Amino acid sequence: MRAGLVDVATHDERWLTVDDCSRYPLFTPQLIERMRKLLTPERQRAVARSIVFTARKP
Amino acid sequence: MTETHPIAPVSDDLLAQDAVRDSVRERYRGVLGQATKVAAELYSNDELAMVGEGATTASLGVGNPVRRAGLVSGERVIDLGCGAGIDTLLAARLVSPGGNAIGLDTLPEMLAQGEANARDGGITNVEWLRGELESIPLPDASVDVAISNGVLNLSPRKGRAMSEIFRVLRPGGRISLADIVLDEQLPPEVMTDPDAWAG
Repeated sequence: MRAGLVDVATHDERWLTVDDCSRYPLFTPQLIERMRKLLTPERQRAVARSIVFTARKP
Repeated sequence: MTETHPIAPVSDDLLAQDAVRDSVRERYRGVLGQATKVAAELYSNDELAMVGEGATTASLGVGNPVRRAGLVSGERVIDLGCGAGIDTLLAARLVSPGGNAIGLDTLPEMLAQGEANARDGGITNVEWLRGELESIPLPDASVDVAISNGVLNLSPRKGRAMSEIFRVLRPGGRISLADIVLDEQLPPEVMTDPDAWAG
């Protein structure tokens, strides 16, 4: 890995839906509405992935 | 009519980086004190009981980096972009006795909230530090573990941020970073909306 870290691993992966996003006040109602309008139903169920990355400095 | 911002959210343009940073700060200031139900999905009841209601209801995280950090007594942990401190306080509990946690955030209002939550929970092995992810105000090799929760994606200079994390870690030190990734781009009307940069 370019950062120089080793033992890189990912954990606890889950998809975030538009409904999940709407639980965060960081997303304004206007933005949530825009996402519902512009994204396909499939994409609304998989907007982004949440992941935990772990690694170690040698 | 859709309002959009002319500057792309991730850019090598230094002016764009400033715009992203300022926009994110303002958005986080705007939600200060708003209660969320995010923590109930990410933390166990035992974990939530360790940090108290103030930190729990202010959670804006996307995962549980503390659970994967493998913390043990005596370690020094930094929580990058700590917000109201749910992960900082949980880490402080887990490295006690003998260890301590540092909550780093760019917003003094967030640090004040974290400090109040620590006081309410009787957690004393914690420090609150104002600073940027891309310029961590700590010496080289000064922490055992770096954690963050939904923060690295906010940085317009992610390479610089990773370099700083690497710098402050001791040899053998660990990271546990919870964050979000996009497998494919969202529509421009979403990606260029400043409200999306903080989310």
